[in-house]
Amino acid sequence: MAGRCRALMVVLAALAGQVVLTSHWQDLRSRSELLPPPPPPALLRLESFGDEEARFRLLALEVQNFGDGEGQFTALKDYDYPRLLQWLELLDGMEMRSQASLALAGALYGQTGQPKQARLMADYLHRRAMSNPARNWHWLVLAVHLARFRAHDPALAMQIALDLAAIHDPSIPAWTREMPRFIMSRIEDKDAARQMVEAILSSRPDLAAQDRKALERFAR
Amino acid sequence: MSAVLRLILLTNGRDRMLPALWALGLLLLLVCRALGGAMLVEGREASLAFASTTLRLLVVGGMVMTVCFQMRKWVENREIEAWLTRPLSRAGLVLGLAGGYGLLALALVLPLVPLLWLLLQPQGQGLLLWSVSLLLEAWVATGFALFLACSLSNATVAALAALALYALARLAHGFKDIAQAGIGDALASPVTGLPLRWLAEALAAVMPRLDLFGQSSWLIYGPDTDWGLGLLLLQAVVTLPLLLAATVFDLKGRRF
Repeated sequence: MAGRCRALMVVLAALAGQVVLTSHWQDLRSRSELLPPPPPPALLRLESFGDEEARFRLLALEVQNFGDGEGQFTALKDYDYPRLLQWLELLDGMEMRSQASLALAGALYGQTGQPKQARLMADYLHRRAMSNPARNWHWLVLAVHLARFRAHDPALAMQIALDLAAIHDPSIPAWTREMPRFIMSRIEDKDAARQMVEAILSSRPDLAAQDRKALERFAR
Repeated sequence: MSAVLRLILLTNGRDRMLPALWALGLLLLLVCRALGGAMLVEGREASLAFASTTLRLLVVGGMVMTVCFQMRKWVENREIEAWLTRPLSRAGLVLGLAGGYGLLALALVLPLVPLLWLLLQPQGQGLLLWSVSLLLEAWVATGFALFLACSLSNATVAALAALALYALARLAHGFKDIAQAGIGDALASPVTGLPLRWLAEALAAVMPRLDLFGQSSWLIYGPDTDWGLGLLLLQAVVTLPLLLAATVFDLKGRRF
C-alpha cells in the first residue's frame, strides 16, 4: 500500500512539473516563415504517396491558413503576394478542375486593402478563370470588382469585363454582358459587391452551400 | 487449409478486431467530414480526399498489425507446428493463411464503403473502383506482412518492416521522378548522382506500383485516370503470387 502511495506521489509530482513547464512555455512557437517558397512539383508528388488529389486538398488548406494558427493572425497587407501567386499557380498545376485556388484568390487574399496586391489577385483570377470561362464566369465577375474597386485599375477591370462579355456560352447569364457598363457607373464598392454576389447566387443555384458562403464573404 | 482459414476468422471474431476497426473508420470519416468544413470552398471534395487517405491507412495498418502479431503468437504457441503435423503442406498452410487474412480484409473494407457513401456522397463509379482498389491494396499489404511475419522472429520488427515496404511501394516511383529531375545536391553531383539514379530506377522496377491504387480523385470526379481496374488487377496478380511463393520458400527452409 505504501509503495502504491509513493508511486501516486511521483505521478502527481510529475504532473505538477508538466503543468509548470507548459505554463512557462506557452509563448514558445515554432519559428516558421509566413510564406515559404513553394516546393518543386516532384517533391509534392513524393509527399502525396501516390495520391495527388489528397495532397492537393491538404495543400489548399495549408495555403488558406498561411500566417494564421497557434493563436496568431497575420494582416493581408503583410503577405508577400508575388510568392502567394506562386503557391496558387502550384495548386493549379496539381488540379485544374478545382475552384479552390480561385476562391483563395477571390474570396480570401483578394480582400486586401492594398491596391497593388488586389491587382495581382484580380489579374490571377482573370487568367485562371479564362481557362474554363463557362464554369468559372462568376470568378470573372469578382475579378472585375477587385480590379475596379480594390485595385483601382479601371483599365484592367474593363479588360476583364470585355473578355467576360465576349464569351458566348448559353450557360452564362446575359447580365454578365452588362459588366462593362456596370463598372462605368458611379456605384460604391460595398453596393457593387453586394449586387454582384446576389446576381451570381441567383444565377448559380447549383453552387454548394459552402461555396455560396465563400461568395457571401466577398460582399461583406 | 480450411481449418486454418476458419481459425483466422474465428480468432479475429473473438478478439473483436473488426468492430473496433469499423468504429475507428466511422470516427475517421466524421473527423474528415468536419475537417472539410474548414475549407473555404469544396468542403465535400476535401473531406472525400482526406477520408480516402485515412481509410486506406486504417485498413492497411490494421491488416499489417493483425497479421504480424497474430502470426507471432501462433508461432510462440506452437500452433503453426501443430498444423504442420497434420497432412498439410507448407504451401497449403500459406495459402490457408493468405485466404483467411484476405477474407478478413474483405470483411474490414465492406462496411466502410457504405459508410463513406452515406456520409460523404462520393461519385458512384469512382466509389466502386476505389473500393476494389482498396481491397487489392490491402491484400498486397497483407502479403508483405505475411512474408515478413514468417521470416522475422520479432512481431514489432515485422510490422514496421511491412509498413516500410508498403510505403516504399507507394514512394518508389516518386523517388525515380526526383532522381530523373536531379533535385538536390546529391543527385546533381557527378559522383553520387548516377549511382543514386540507378538505385532509384532499380527500386522503382522491383516494387509494385501501389501509388496507382486508391486515388482520391476517383471519389470526387469518377474514374479519371489513364489506368483502371484492369491494370490494378494485373499488378495484384503479379505481386500476390510472388509474395506467397517467397513466404513458402522461407517456410520450407525453417524447422518447426
